[in-house]
Amino acid sequence: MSVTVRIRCLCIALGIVLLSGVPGVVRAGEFPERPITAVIAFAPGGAPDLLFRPMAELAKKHLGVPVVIVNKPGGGGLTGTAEVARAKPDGYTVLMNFGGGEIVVSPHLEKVPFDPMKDFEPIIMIGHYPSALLVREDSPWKTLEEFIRAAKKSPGELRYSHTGALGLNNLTTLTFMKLAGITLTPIPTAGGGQAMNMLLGGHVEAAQIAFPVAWPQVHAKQLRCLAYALPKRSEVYGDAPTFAEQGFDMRFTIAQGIAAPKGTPKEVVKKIHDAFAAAYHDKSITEVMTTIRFTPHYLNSEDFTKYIREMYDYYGSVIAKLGITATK
Amino acid sequence: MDLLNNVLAGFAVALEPNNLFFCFIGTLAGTLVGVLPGLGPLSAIAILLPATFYIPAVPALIMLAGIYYGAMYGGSTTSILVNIPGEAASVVTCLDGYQMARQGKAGAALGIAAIGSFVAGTMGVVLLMLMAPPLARIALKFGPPEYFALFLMALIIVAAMGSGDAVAALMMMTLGVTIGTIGTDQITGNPRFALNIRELLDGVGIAPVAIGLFGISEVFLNVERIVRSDLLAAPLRGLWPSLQEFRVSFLPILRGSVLGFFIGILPGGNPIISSFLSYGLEKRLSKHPERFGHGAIEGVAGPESANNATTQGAFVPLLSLGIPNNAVMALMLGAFVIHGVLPGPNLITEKPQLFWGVLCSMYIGNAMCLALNLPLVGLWVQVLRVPYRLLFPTILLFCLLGVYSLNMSTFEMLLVVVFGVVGYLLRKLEYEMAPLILGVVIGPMLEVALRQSLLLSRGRLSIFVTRPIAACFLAVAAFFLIRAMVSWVRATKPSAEESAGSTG
Repeated sequence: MSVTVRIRCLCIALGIVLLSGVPGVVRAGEFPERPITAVIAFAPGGAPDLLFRPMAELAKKHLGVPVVIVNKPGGGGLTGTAEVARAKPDGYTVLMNFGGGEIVVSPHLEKVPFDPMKDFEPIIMIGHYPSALLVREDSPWKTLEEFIRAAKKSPGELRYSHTGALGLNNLTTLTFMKLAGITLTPIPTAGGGQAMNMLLGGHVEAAQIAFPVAWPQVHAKQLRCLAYALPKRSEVYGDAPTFAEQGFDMRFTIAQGIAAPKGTPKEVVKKIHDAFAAAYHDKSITEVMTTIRFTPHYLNSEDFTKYIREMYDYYGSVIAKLGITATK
Repeated sequence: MDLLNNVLAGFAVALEPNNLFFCFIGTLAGTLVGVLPGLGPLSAIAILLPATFYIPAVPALIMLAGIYYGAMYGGSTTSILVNIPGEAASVVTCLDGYQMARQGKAGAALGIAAIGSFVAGTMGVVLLMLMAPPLARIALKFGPPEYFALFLMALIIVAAMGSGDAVAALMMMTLGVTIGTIGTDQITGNPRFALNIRELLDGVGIAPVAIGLFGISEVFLNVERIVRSDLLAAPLRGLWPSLQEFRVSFLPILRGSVLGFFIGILPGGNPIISSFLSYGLEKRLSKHPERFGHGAIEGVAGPESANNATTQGAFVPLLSLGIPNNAVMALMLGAFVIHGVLPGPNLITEKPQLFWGVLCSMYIGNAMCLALNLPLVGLWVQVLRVPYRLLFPTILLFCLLGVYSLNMSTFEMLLVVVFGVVGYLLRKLEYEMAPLILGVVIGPMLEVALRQSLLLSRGRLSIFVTRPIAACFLAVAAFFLIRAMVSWVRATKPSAEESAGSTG
């Protein structure tokens, strides 16, 4: 085959590839006119997927266009979040899992490729879930008290698995250790599922993970929750006790909501908000949230913005007070 | 007998026309998605997940399960025909499958891959049925020390799996492990080799590496060699494995199935690992290991069975404990959740119809996959007849699009091309690609397991021998290592053969 034919073939192939990247022609008109891209900054199968995929299906009915979920994992949520921060603020790109550790905790500990307070337009908050400290059902510590006593007796002997040195779960444990005056050995894992498997398999004594991840095991009496980090008990989490009621003023929750890039027009934000608020109130979504033990908590755009600001400052102050740095 | 009752009830559910229909849709979609390089069951299940909103729980789960194991059937097709892994788990099938295709035995390769997959899938379902809860408990006993020992054993068994120079294979493996370190360190959170490029912070994905090193480099190599013709180096010889080929593949299929299933029940157990292990094992156990890499059918039969058995095994922790092993299982969990069911240890008693119905549908689904794949062999084989100048742009296009479809990342498309060039250069210099991929996959996991183990034991290395499972794997690894060293000594010192023989 002659060189020219070969080159021509390669050019055609490259051309096809490049064409697929050309953005569609934008016409002036009512929002929305074409499908909306909803980014989830984590790999498929995580908690955000469980909740937001059904919600996107329902929101489609109110918006009249498909809401296409796209997973953009990477950097513990940073990659996908940064992409939305940089996207065109026309309402066609939104972030689905806005409000978690990568927004309110990570920026205090490391350099993140976006400004959590300035780069986003929060649209609606859907709910949150707390971080929880768990032990096996057959372990000797039935209450947080007993666990603390055992830890004081042998500092560093008790090991706990967590989901990332700079994440919200580990921050919860570090705070708890400082407040209770104990030392536990952290064992990092790649995620809630892994951390829980380590506990179930008897490789560690405790685990600090998001409560929804552990719920099926707590429900089946395989794991016991010593405490979870909400200021007040919630019936969503059964009879598990909170840190607060046992003397530790701790609040560590992962908020989940939707946000658009800063500068998105107000009418567009309102349309997206209304569609998802309607989905939020749908019975099937309430069922999903109950099944995965997510605490429903609706906030509109302004309140959500205020809430995120509060949480950001709160975690910042916790980190500063405890003297936690990224090198720890 | 209780089990018999349950199984009969399960088949009653699985054979309902509605459920049969969705089973077919799932296995068809899975096979198609498996054939396309890059696009995998994960994307397909993620896309179809909201649709399951509108259908009841049982058919939804049957369909999604069908996509997952169906993809393992389809993955071998492009591996055999054009040396591009349709699924990362089919990388190993490229090694001998493609050679068989060039020798005109593509039909036999495709056929044995489908049959091996069917046997493995069916065995997997039987094991699932009989032993799911106790198996899941055993799987939990696997902690970082056990993983470290398992991965070390895998590396050693597979180390010289190439047909060439063992030292060169080790070099490639080391290169692979180095490439695997690119990204953010899991334990400390520090970036390594990320060169300040944000996309590299999560490391180099296995798909761009596999597709680049095998598929794209193959295209570059072929475009040099093949002037006017097609891929076939020898005339096409029939569409079905011969009796001799069946006989030779029998044990590898059984061994691959058992091995694959047990890897599948482990959290993080991955069809890539099981297919590599099966290949390495078959090569070590073979009386003529030098045939591997040149079209040995055992090199297709074993790994293809292993990767199917692994997908069946992956259901064990989900269905018996409610713990998803990997991203696909996590999405299956999502499908359960959408229908208001939270799988946990009580699933089998609280929802027996669901549990046994889905299980029995897997038998039917595997049979459907076999029925889908075998007749298509004749059709697929015709692809080899297409003039290469028309085929290769299509191959390139599918590779690029397939990689893009995974994470919508143009950076990964660039990576595929980079690895394609790297693969081309390395292969011109006669280096093997398989140890490189193994290094990329296992290296990071080995390292994390080692460090977690030492964190758990607070620095004491004894943890690896005090825990029985870990000690067993390390003993096996030591055995293979010593055996390899002994045979190396024998090979390089022929005059001292007598003394080596008496100590061996």
